[in-house]
Amino acid sequence: MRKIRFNSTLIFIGSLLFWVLSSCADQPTSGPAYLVEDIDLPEGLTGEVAAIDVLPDGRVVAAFMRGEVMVYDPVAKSWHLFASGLHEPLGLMAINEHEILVMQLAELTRVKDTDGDNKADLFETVYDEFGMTGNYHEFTYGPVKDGKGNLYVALNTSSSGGGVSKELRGNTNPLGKSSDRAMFSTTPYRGWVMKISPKGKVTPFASGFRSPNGLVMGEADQLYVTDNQGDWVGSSSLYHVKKDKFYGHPASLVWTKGWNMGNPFELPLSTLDSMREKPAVIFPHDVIANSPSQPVLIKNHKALMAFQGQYLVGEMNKPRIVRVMMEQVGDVMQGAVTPFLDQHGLRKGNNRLAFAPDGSLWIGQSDHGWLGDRGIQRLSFTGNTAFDIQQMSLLRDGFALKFTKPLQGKDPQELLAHIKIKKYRYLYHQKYGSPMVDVSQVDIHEMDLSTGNKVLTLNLGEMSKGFVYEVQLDSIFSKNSVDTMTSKVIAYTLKETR
Amino acid sequence: MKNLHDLFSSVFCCMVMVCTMTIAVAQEAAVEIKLSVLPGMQYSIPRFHVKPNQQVKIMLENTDDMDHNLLIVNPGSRELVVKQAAALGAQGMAMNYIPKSKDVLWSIPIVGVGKVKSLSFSAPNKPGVYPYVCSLPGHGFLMFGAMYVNDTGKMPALEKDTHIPPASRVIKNANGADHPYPLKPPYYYRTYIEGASPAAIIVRLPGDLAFCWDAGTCGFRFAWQGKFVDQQAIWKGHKDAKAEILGQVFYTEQAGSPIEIVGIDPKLQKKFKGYKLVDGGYLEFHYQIGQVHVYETLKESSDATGIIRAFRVTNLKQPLYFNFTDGDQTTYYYQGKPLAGNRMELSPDQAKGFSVLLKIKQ
Repeated sequence: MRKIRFNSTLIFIGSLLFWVLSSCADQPTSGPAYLVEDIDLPEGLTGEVAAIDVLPDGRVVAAFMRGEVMVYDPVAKSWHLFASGLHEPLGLMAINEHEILVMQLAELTRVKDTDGDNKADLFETVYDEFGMTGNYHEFTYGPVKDGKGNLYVALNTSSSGGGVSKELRGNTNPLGKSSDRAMFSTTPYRGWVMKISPKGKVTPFASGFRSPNGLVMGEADQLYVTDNQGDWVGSSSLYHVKKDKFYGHPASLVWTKGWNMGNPFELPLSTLDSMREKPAVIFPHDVIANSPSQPVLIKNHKALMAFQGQYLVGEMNKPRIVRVMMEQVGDVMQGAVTPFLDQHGLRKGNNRLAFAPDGSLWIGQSDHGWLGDRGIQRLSFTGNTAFDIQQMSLLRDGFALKFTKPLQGKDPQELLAHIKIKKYRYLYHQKYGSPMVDVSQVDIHEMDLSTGNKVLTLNLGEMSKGFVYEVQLDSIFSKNSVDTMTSKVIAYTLKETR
Repeated sequence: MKNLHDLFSSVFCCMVMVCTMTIAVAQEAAVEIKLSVLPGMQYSIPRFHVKPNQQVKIMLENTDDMDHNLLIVNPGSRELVVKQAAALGAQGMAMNYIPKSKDVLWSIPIVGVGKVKSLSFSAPNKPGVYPYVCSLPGHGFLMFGAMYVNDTGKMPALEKDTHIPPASRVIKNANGADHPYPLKPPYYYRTYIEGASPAAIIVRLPGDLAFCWDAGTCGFRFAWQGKFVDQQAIWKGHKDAKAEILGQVFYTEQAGSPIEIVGIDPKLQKKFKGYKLVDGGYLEFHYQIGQVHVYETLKESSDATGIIRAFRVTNLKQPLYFNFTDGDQTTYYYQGKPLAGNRMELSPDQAKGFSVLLKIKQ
């Protein structure tokens, strides 16, 4: 183990070893790790991808905002229409070539081709017992499935930017609306994640969501849901969702069984704050992602073994896909997020992701009333390992950063000067988004490099709960070496200390 | 029926004309521009004209569901300023995403959702096209407009004005396809439409007929003849948009429960079960009332002067009522005979499979 100690970031007491971080020269894997390819869409299609999934045989099923569900054969490069007329089908789970589940505005539907002509002819309602006001923002997401066969879907709150129709579906409760402008929930179960058992029994599972445009099931059946920055969401977040918990946006609380606390927007902020479960990972706004979408699990992926069990998440506002890594600390799941792929021919509007059996990642893009692009791209993996942060783990007094390739050293003082750490919080309030508050630089007290130069240990002294720690590795290789690092920034949400 | 695109364009042109006229009348008086925000990141007014040195007051009401600001910048500098704002990174919010730049002439800081802020200034002396833009991250690519400063009030044709977002230019009356396939009736959409719940299903039948069947209420709602619908506003993601009926409605169902089973409270929640595409794409709707399953298929009559409603009812042990509306433009027929009133009783055996013809009066 090589170790460097510092009294502060300014004073260096150390050896004369010359180090530089770079991808190790003796690794045969150089060249690009990822390739982005455009997929041609059929003529006349408005390519706003609402949902995407891949069949076991590798064909891709894509749903579009105008209601089409189309199937793409990547070998023949041909499209065929499977279903049409659906209502903003924002979620899709391909079961087999004759059967898919579609989450559309009004319901979760089992769409089947029963006569084998490759076109759907049967549309069975699986779940529609939730309210609709006709508000344009009542999007629906999912389903994802756990190991026991339960499905989970999420229902967006209604937008304060739009009105409601004369005729609604479902009960109403005016208490689900703020007297100020905020996303609202005046019909059940807007702002909830719902659980549907294999027998069709529906349970309101968890509340407090604003715009949960992404659900994913982890390796051990952990349910994670993304939410978008806005009122009560200081910066976009990923939540570890558990039964009966509340995740922060007050509107949906009115549909809690036995709710007797009136209009939840009128509860003291401290009460709401104490009721809520905080994010497992915050996506710092303008740093990591402004509008994260669907996560996918990296599981037994040959080219991404270093990231086993982690998640890729789409970002709408930038040509970017981010990577989330989780760990258990005490009783909570928490972790870090870093850009995975930036630019490289990738478009914006990365709304939906799905891994194919061959390991390629299908990316569906949309710009429906939001920033983005349209179309479908495929990300394939060359087998080369990208030089990247493999894992960021919390220690009692700092972090360990594990890299995918060994670091090579040059001047430790220089190395230190290129690692900048700051911490900050976000406010929980009705206002749209939050600035970073209580921002401060974090000094590195001590730094170790171990495990074949792959693990960098940063001693930061006492760690502050409730803060995001943002580590900037920017320009770390700007001198005397080619910078091959994929991501320059990683942000760890410190919900719990070790 | 006027195409919605044209309608939008005319409304829009009027809006611009009104602005221009106000300015002309006001002469050297202060010009007031009232801006709000449309969904899809657009200012409500994509361009306006003022004279050099004229007093201008801009009021920005944030009618959107996210924050916005407004920067007036030097001609040709919009993209640069947007980049400068993006470069503020995490400092952006604290600075209202207003970069320190010589190109930013005036600005309205972030206007919260539902709030109004205004800005008064004296228009530049130098004629030109001065962009206004929302510089919040990502917004600047879509959300901008143009302040024309000149003596004449001259602006290029709207559809050729590259100073405003493409979406704000006159939309061509698209003969282009709505979908990557030809639409051949019968076909359908699940969509928002006036006169039904948000779980509406609208179906295009051959013979210029169309109807709305409601998965929220489990029943037929209304029918029309002529052109089908315009969904452009919905497809653009406009808030409060609905499918616009382009034909003439000839029947509106008043009966709350078209199928009522004797002995079962008609207010009992019906359960929508889905639909099957039969006979080349007609929808056979399926719903449940208690233990009874009802299937309804609607098709055009052979001469397209009406709609045939065919029912199958299973697990039925009691008689049922077929409830309908005695409309002034239509007559119902059962087994070739016109139906009077608004209710017909059928025995369990008769109700297993029956159909009625909803015929438009000639």
